[in-house]
Amino acid sequence: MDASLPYLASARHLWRHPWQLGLGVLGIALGVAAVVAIQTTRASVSHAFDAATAALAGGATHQIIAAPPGVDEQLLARLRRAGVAPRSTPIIERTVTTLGDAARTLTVLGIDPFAARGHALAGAMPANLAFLTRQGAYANAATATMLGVAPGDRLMLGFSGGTIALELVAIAADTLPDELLVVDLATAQEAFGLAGHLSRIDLLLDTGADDSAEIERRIRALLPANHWLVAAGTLRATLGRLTEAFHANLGALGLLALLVGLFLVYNAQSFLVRQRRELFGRLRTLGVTRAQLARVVLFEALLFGSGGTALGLALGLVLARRLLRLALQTINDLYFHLQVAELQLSVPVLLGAALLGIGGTVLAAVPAIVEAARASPRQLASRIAGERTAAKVIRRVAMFGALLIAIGSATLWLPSTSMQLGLAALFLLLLGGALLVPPLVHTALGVLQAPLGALCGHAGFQATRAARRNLSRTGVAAAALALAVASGLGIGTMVESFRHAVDAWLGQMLRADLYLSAPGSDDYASGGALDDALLTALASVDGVAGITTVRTLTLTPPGDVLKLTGYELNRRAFDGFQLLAGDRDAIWRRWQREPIALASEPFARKRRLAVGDRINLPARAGTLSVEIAGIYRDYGNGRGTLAIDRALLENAFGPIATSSAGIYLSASADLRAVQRAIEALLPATGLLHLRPQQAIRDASLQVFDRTFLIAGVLRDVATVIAAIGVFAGLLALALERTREFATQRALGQTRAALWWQLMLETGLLGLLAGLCALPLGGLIAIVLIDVVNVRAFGWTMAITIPWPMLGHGLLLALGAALLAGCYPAWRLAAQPPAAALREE
Amino acid sequence: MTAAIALHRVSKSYRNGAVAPPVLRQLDLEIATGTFAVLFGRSGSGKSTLLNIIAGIDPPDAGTVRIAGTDLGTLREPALTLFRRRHIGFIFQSFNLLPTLTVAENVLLPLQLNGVVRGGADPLGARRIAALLERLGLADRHAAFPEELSGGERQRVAIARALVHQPDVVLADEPTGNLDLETGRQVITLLDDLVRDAGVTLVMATHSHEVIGRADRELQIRDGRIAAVSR
Amino acid sequence: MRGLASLLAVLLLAGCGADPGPSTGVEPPFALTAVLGANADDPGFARALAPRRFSFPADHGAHPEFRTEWWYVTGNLRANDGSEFGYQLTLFRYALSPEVPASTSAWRTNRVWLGHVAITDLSARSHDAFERFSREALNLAGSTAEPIAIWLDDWRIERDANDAWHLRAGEGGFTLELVATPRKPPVLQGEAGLSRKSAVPGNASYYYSLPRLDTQGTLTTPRGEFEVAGTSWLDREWSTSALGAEQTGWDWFALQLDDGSELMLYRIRRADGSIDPASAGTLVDPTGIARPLGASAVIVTPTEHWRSPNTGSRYPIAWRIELPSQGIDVTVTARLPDQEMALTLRYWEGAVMISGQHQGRPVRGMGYAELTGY
Repeated sequence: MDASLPYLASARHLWRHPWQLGLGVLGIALGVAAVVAIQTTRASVSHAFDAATAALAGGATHQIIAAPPGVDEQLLARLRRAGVAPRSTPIIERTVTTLGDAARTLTVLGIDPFAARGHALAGAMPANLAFLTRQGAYANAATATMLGVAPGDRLMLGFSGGTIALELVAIAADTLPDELLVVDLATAQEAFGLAGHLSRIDLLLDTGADDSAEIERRIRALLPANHWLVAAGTLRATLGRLTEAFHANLGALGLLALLVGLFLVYNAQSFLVRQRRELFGRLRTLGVTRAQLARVVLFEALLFGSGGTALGLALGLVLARRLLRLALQTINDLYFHLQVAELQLSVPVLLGAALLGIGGTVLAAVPAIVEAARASPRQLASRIAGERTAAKVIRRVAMFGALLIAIGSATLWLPSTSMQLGLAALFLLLLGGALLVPPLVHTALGVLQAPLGALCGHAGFQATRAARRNLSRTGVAAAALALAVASGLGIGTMVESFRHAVDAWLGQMLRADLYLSAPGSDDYASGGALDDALLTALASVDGVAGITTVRTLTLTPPGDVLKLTGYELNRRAFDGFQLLAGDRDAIWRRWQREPIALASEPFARKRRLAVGDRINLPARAGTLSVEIAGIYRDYGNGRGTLAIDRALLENAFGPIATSSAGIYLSASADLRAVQRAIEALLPATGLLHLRPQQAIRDASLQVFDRTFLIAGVLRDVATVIAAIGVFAGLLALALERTREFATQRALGQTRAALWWQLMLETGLLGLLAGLCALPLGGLIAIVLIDVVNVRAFGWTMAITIPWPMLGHGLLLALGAALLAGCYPAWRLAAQPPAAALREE
Repeated sequence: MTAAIALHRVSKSYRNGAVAPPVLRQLDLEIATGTFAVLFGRSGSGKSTLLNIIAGIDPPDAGTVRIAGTDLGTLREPALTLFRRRHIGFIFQSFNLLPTLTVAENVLLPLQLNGVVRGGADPLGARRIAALLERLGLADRHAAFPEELSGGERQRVAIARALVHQPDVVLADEPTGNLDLETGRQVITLLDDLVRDAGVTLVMATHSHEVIGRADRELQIRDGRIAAVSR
Repeated sequence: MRGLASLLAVLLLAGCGADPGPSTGVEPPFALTAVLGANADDPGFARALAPRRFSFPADHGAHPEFRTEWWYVTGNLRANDGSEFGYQLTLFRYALSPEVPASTSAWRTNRVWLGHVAITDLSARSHDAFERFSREALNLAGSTAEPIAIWLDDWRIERDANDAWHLRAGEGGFTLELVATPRKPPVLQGEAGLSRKSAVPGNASYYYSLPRLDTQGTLTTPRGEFEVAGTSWLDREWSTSALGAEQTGWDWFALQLDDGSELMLYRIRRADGSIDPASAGTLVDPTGIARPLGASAVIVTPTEHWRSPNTGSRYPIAWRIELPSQGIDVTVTARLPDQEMALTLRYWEGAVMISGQHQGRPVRGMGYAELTGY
């Protein structure tokens, strides 16, 4: 058994300095909270997304999918009669929108309830089959409430091919996903004009069976051309990339939170150890061995770590709850409906955060233990010697930081397209950069000492000296502050640059004066509300000089999503393509004559395509082979788009509904008048939306801003947490130095002078940390823009420096530091110096 | 009979930037068991350094240090620490009491570290401490914290702490330096009595002539050596 | 009359495919009313009002003008190694409405099918049952007249030109592939094939049986593949009537005696515990001549019960059956107590054995019993 008195002596010290103890534990808690909040939000969003897609997949193990127009419906009977897939559910899935201004997106799922046994969606079916009637549909209670309908009510919905009418006949169990209307397969085929085809067949195969490979082989043998058997996860994973922008954002933020958290925890713990150096020195003199002392420190670290971690977990979850609501709102507004507002307590996240809190705390105690063990008792008792070792440590840390930067840079240069690797490199660079902060501040203070002394007299001299001397204690806090501010700047710069690029891109891409759009652009459907008759009528409206149209089609061969856009273009519209490669005039000459395509930048980059390459697409009958004639800038779709001529698209895939039309006016035409004339031509369903160019542009930027709103909020949360952490760290230092200040007061230093010195000292530190944050933020921005974005989405952009943001960053760092100086200064003023001096 | 303390050709210097002025130069010293030796000399002459080297807190650059027959140079951590806590008692000018432990706990600490008592409620330790505090006139202050004591009381606690585990050697570094004349005199008298009763070797660095007068041996340290050895 | 068929309507309307359990929410009778509502007596369907002229083989095929119809084969089989089996293969047709709705979608249909397959392995003392549902669309399920074939997925009953019935079905490691050849001409049940279910006119079905088919083929179970031979019974019935509310369950027996005669009996149990007077039976002599039996001609006394550990239902598994007028006094015993069909619709259907007296001579036999409403 260890002697108990060293523990008692150490514990009583902390108990007598509740501020330091509290701030230390708070620092640990904040670090843990930042990580828990952001990672839990991320895990919850991921989970909600997976749950939503899994619910629609109905627990299937495999799916059969096909090139447009879809899976041949005869296939199901062939599979069934061959006895290879008794659990097989034919599915038609379509996106529809409610009509009117506040259009909401819903999914209509057509299933055969008789074949659907074993399919998860069948379990939620209402207890009668009344929905088998011609327009019958069922939904869960939440969806019915959202749509404002009760059983017996009729619903009008829009899709790319026009409108459909359904009747809600029953309310399904709550296990049915939200914003889903289930209809009979026949109803779906009739409503969407899909006779003969299915979206997919969901299969429940016994993957554990001995003959499962044989079964799969037999199923494949039955598949017609351009039909594929894929594992259910494949399609889900592919669709999962829908929200990859969101995930990449949160991933980068989670990483930054981890780093900031790491520094905060380290800072807090090293403080708690360092302030008791003298005590430890005396204990060593009295014969406490190194091992005994190490055990005391470790035990305490475990205690703080556990306490701070518990607090941090709780705090982080509270924060995560709020963040999640915001995140879901953004996703629901922009992508599709996610119903799960439940916080997903991810065990790895919580364990990771606990490890960070407790492990980080213990790890942060290690240098103190090593120092205590290595130094002789005489050195330990002396602070100066401690600071001297600290200076040595700072130099070593600087070297380590430089090493990390070198490794990080090397990682970036690796010829890889892995976003994870990019993020890992960013992590190394930032850690390295943060480690360079204390040495940089140290050097800067050395340089500033003389000029500040000249400028501010004794206070200036004293402040730089003190700041420099205390850097062994404030260095980590400064690094955390710099890191947090840099994260904000980096992400801010990325978003700003992105927005700038998108704005410029929209400006060039949107050439028509008016745009007419139909809902559900990604579906395969012929005819539609924007039919040829309407287009002809539009062309003859007075003042209309020309019409261009867009048709889109999404192909999902196994493990891939190919977005095809069929353009009916004029030269003016064609010039809207901002070509990154390829000869504009040559392409235009070939456009309607040859099977050529323009690849969007992400498309080309992800598939490593260059001008002149060919790509084969699974078409209705056989394969469509097109040559990449050019590569154009596009921020619209992270998966990439292939732009081809309308005729090429429809020849290969059959007639496809027009999703939007661009209307070009003659020079003399009056926009308002033409707009009114066109509106008179539109069907009264409200399915089609006519908007001027500027409105599209504004709406696009609004969508952009909403996408990054959550990123902004998360960034601010991380920054505020870091600021609080730094505040706590600096405050702890100032409180620890109460006696030093009291001595100065006793020596005749005025309150004002002392205040001034303290402010100058913390202000200098904050300012220097802020200055360090600028290049660090730039580094983050560059890596995010040139590596992470390129790898995640494949698009490039120029960096736009947001000057006001830089100012804000500096102010934030300065403010947090100054604020930290205020309380001790106030306390010093309020307290007679003798009280602070009395303490042994 | 082995000398309690035997130093042979001990040298020590402290690096200060580029220069390393020697503090002790090839110093030789032997002090017999039970001797009360005083160490005097000008400030900075190396008194504290010599005490630290004898205590094993600070290793010499060269030479050998034997305490009660043990060559400290052959001891590594943690043996050195274990040796120190068993054989050495230390009294500092600035008391160096643990501010967060009570008087009784401060005194108990060496006993606990040496495994004489386990935990705080050992009746043997409690009796020994009570007797010691009684003798030092601190019987009613055992539950007080150091900051609540006067300087003289603090130093008496330090004496109790240095003697409680019955070390072979007690080292005192200007124990009266922070005390007034009268209090200093009382403290020295107590220390002298206790040390002689226990037969412990005491080495005390001091400036006080009165103290020097009470000692068995007077050692003056000058130019890094023992310059004058009386008696 | 097979009681199961009446429950089929309830099942389909209660949400077929839905797992049974509390989530179903709506009680079957409500669902029945909700959907059938006014068209419970839909005039669009044909009804069994009077005896009809049966014409074979055409009547072996489907009668889509009636709401429900089924092909119901049961039998006892024996393998070379002495292993003994019972089997059941049933295909039900049910029409949601009289007419096929017009649609661009091939899935739009008024007909749905339900199939049950069960294999009792008496040597392993195990009973396994499977069910399937399908709409009659895209050849997933249906019937043809030439040749006479009925199928649901890969479960199939087909009659060849030589009057041999080919049966094929399987799932989950069990398959049966059998050929059953009738030894007697069809027996018209009830009043020349009109089987009345109550005093209400039209509440009746057309019902005939092939009471004895020599059967051989292959049976596969997880224990292995068996060449088997034995005797089967084919029941055919079609109607538009529904079960009366006061009728709570049915006991049905198809018994094949080793003196060459067969006995079919059904007992409709009423809520008050009495036997519905519409209960009836038929005794077929070795030459194939059938004698209808009224409810009062038969005394059925359960002598032993078994409680299902799965569902808690208590089924009779042994009976004394007396037909004093025919000199029949036999004991009928389940060959395995647990032959409960734990499917979406729960009932008991299993192989039974017979021993006793027929006109003073000892008689033995095999057969099948169906118990619903327990």
